[in-house]
Amino acid sequence: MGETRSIATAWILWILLAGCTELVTASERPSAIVRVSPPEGSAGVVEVVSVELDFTRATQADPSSVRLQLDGIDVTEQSSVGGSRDWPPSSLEIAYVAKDMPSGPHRAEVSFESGQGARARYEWSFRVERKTSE
Amino acid sequence: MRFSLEGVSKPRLSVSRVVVQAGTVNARGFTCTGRRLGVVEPNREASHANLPAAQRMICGRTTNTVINGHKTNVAGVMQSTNVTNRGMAPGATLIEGIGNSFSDTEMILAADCVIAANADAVNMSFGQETNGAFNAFARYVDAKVYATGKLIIPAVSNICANRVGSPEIAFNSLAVGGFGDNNTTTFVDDVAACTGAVTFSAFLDPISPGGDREEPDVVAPGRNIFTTNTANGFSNATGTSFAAPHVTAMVTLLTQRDPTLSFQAERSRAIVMASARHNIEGATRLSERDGAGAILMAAADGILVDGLSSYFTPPGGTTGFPIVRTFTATAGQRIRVVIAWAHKSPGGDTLTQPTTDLDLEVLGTAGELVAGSSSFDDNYEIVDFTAPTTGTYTARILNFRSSPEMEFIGFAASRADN
Repeated sequence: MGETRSIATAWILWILLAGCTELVTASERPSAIVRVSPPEGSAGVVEVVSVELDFTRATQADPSSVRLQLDGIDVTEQSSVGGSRDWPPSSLEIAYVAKDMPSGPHRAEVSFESGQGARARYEWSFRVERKTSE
Repeated sequence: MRFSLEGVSKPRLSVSRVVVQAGTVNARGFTCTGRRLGVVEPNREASHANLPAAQRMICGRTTNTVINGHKTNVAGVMQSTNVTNRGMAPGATLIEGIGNSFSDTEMILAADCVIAANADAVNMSFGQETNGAFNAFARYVDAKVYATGKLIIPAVSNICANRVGSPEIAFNSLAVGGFGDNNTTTFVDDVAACTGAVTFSAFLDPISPGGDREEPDVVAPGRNIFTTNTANGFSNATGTSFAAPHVTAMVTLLTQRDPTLSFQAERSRAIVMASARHNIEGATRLSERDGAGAILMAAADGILVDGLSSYFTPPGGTTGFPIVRTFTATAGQRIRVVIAWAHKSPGGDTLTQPTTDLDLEVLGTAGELVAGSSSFDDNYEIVDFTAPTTGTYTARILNFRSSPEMEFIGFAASRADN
């Protein structure tokens, strides 16, 4: 009962947050994004939120402009950024170790400059389900 | 003073091959035939007419079929068999370690498999921007090199404003930066990292207790390298990603001359650094943007030919020190001596000094001190001097701070005539 209540509260908060910011739907996925983890719409235990980008797929992209947000909070500085060491890099992976994420729905957003000052964004949602204790 | 051991008037195969003296070593009969280059990266190389399938092995995530253009570019620097755009080690077998992503788990899986497949040296043209901090992957590299003796060769970060990242911060790796050869074989127009048109290759050192850690270790050409691409052709590629494979190929070429080097990462490091006498900027001995200097493959091969390298394995603690090694020199000859030793990787993200601190001094023909090197935070020492007299010189390796467990120490001396 208590868990049901907390999930409902989280959903309400998510809806409120979504209403307060200008969010882009997950439908327009920039071509540079190869993979997001956890996958869109997935449910389960989540340890890392990550995005894999391939800038050879995009006509223009600035690898140094990549930002990652989790539930509206910019976690870029707390994330590890790795990738190929060509210049500018052709591929990049940004990963945030998600410690103790509460059960329930979450949303993540990756954004980067895609040329001429335009900022490409991709937002997706997933659900954290904790393992039940035995 | 500059040294060019290969005449630039010879027909050149490609610019960087001449700049790093690969052509000279190949002409001596060493093209890496029978040796194995390891390449670790996500996904797979493309098929290419000049990356022969018969000279390729795959391991790791072998069901992965995603093509990686960057990996194809890296492979060409080492292995391209094209007559004009020839790699440094065209006879080598390339062991391709395949991961599904840049995550530590995937890259460790790929690195473990190429080392298990007996790669002579392992190229890592990827990394994380840790801005001078150790992380788990750097600790893995230190531990793996110590345990196996296989040299791992990472490309340093390309971001000029950053301190070097991971895995190049690992003590036991040979961290490679880039420079620009300006598409000419002469040395006079070479451009250092983060200078002018060379807008890449990090050189800011990790913060360390003694304040004297110096990275990168060496540099190689990294701008506009004309290499294999996914379209079965060739195109220019830029970044430290393409400097590192010059060095990986170099180390593998050396194992063809002396196969025991395949398990002596510290001796390989010492030879590469001692022979890197092509100074791009700053002090000839060691400086910020080019470390010990730009690689010279023929000079490195000359160290082996002249028997000017050694490998020592004292049992740990102070036992066996000082280690003494003699060599001869002629008055006026430029001499560079390097020792490199293994860090024992006790772990911990805050680790900033090698476990053992060795020092190096060189005594002249009359027993006088000619040169010395005693850094606190590097696990190598380097001296560079002009021999004042002709005769026998003595290098002494001193143990300033000992630690338990076996030491692995490489020694190399490079003379201007090798």
